[in-house]
Amino acid sequence: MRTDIIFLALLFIVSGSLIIGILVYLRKLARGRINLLLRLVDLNELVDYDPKNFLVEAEKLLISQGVEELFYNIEYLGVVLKKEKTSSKKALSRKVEREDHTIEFGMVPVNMRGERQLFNMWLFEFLFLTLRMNVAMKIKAIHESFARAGVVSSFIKHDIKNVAQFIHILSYNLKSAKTAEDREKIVGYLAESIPYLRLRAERIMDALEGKEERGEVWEGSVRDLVKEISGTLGLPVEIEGDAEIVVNREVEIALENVLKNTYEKHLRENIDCKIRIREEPEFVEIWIEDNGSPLEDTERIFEPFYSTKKGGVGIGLYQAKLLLRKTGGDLYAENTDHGVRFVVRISKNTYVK
Amino acid sequence: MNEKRTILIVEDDIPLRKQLKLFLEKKYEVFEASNKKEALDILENNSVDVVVVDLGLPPFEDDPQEGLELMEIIHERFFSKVVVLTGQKTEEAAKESLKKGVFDYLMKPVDPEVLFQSINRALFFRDIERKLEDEGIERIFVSAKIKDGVKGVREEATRKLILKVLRDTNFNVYKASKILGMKRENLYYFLKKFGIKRDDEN
Repeated sequence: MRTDIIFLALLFIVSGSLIIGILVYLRKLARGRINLLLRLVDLNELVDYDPKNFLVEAEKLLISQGVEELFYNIEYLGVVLKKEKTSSKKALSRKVEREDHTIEFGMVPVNMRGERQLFNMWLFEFLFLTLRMNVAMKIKAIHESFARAGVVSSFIKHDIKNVAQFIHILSYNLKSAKTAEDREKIVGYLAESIPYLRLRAERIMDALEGKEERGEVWEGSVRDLVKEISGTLGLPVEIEGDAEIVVNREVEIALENVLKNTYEKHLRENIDCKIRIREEPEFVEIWIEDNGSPLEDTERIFEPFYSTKKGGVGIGLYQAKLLLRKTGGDLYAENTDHGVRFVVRISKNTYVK
Repeated sequence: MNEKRTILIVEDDIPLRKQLKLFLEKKYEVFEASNKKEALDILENNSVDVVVVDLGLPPFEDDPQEGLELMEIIHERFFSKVVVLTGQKTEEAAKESLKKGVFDYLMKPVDPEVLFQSINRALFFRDIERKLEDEGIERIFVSAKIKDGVKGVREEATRKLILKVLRDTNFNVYKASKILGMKRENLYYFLKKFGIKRDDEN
């Protein structure tokens, strides 16, 4: 009897230890696998979600973790990524075919026995899902880039054609000028046109090169600057207040973009525009207020390539905000009781070359 | 016709517009406009023979919408000849312009001589149309789908003719009905049917 009790107790202890041992072992294995997945997530971010780079780097990591090799055959938008299977061992593999891509992916684990089989299947599904996500993101990014390039290209073509036409007609006018009066008239019209030509050239340059710094500076009254820009655009404005300021060309461009946005609204809705200039110790604020329709989203309008205007590029307000922030200022919009207000904040500590 | 012919340039690119004005004002009286609203203001207050239109007008410079709408209004209300001078190279823009009755469609950059000849031809056609009007003959321009049959064409032609005569008589229904050779009640029926109102009521 006593022997039986001792035997049962020993059996209980041994079984318990075995179970605990197995649980500890499985927990360690699971933790190891989870850490591996987290490392793969970090790796994917490090390679900027590029499918090819992810597969190359992931394979290096996985070879030390019980994976013999990865193989794949991926096609999307004319891109082909291929690596043949070299191992003779049994592999986990999957294929998915869609309209714009095909993904065939496989993984050869070193060991597919016991609990490792479950973990390897788990790892494989994770890799396959990550790969699919990377390919989908890549396709979307490529489509969006082409769309943007197309929009910017047509926007530039429009400007270049006008410049070409201008040169044609100017050349004809110069050749036809017979008298001093004719020539004076040409000079007079050219003098009127210079500010607009300058704006047009800068717009084309900005679109092509994305450079805003030109080393030019505006020094003087904010009221005069606003009057000049709105006059060039043809936007009738009522201005209150004034301040003296020294700013880079970047701030000028930002203000032009905001006023152009208001001008286009004026054409669509025949709005009135009131501009208030407020001076504070560290900055100057220009409030551009209209009595038109409210904005649907006062944040999204500053997103790049977001435009509610038919055929619009969607860069103007985004660029304006970027330039102002770059120079220590800011730009935001809010709906008021009567319409919309854009607030252009210009830092008085703007770096001046 | 001895008085100076009138041209309206509708172009938002100011340097280009100035050069076009310089180019044309030696021979014609030239008006300028940057957008549809300015163009219509000028057309309301002046008799314009030919309108040179850029399709891409603010606020939609990259889209022909504003230019096409302007053309449609010109053909409905003012009967000036329209010459399109545009950077819009799409087939769609050209098709829509034709549907709206454009006289000529030129793509930038165009040789100034070509533009000049186009305007001269438009003026010539305008003169011939005026002579025909004096003889009681109206040219009505209709775009119609063949599959819709003759009814659509007939109604559109009727509508345009009535509108033209009403505008010529300053919306005097009595005079217009006499010119058209119909009873006033019949004319009122058509006004209601086509939703025709005086321009200042629209």
